[in-house]
Amino acid sequence: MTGHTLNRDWLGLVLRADGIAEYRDAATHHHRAGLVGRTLSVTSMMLVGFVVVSSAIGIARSRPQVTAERDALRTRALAEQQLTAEAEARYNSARAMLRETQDAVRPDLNGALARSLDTQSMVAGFTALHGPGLIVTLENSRRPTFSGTTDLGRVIDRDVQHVVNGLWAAGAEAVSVNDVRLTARTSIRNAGGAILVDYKPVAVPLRIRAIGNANDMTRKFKSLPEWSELTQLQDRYRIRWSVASAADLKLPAGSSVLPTSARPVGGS
Amino acid sequence: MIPALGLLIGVVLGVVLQPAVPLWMQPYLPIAVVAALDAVFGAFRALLEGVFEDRVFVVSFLSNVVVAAFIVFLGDQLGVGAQLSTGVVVVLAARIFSNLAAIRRHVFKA
Repeated sequence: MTGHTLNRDWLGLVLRADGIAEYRDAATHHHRAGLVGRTLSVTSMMLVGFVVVSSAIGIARSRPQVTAERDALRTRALAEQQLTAEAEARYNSARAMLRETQDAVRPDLNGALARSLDTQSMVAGFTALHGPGLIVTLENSRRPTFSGTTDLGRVIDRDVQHVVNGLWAAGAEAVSVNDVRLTARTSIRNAGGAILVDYKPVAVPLRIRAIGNANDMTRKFKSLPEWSELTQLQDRYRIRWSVASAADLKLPAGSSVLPTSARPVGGS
Repeated sequence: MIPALGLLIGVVLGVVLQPAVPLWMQPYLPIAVVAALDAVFGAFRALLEGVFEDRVFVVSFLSNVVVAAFIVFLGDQLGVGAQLSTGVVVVLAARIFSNLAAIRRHVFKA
């Protein structure tokens, strides 16, 4: 056989190399099956059975283990979520108390001080707000665009950041992502496959609400690089998004912590 | 007949003892299983053709398993373990199919 034919038929060669030739060769030499050979072949067969069954059992055994680990992890995550919810409830009731106290002392404050308090707590995201504005909806692509094992058609933290930054730059007065109010200290980031806003997981479709003059915001938003970024997301990865104006949006109060290092300049 | 009995004993031993596979052996186990199956199907075909030989079976079984394990080990050291494992599985699976086809022809005459 020339090298050329060998090259062309290497797959056929592999497929035909089934080991029977070895048996045929040996058969022509008429070796009598000795006791040692027989014992070894029986032992080999035992080994085969043993190995096959052991691996099958190993697979069967590891499966429930994986499930159990996942369940344990899930239980822990749910317990932590419960703890967070409880802490948040305590925080909210403390805030309600604070509000009551503020309301109680309000008559004693002069007008300017009261207004300043209102503005500050509004800007800091301490008060639930309502008003006209825009709703930007972000949703994963219907069909995944894989790069390796990563699906690029999924909404990630950066996309949300783009929208939020764009809305702020377009003049939004208050912004929330899926009912999580954004303050100066709210983070938007990815943790594994999930998007965390203020350390709370938010699920797609993401509704980003921004209070402000809808027409002005739309006009400004369209002129920003964040808008073309969104357009590119749609063109490249088929991420779905839309902008709609709303007459009355309700934004909850933020749960962000108070500043600890920052002090007002020249404040009392 | 006696080797088949050996196979049965091995299966029973595996079921009864339920050995825990050591961690370092786990990458080799799937390859070892496929290599062992290849040797068994080869032996069964030889048996049907009347040319079965204990010596050939033992040598082919041991060399199959050892060489397959060595290739996987080498691949792991070189960082191409998955690719080499795939290669070994493809070749052994092709042999198994080829032997199965011969067995089928013998048993069903089709």
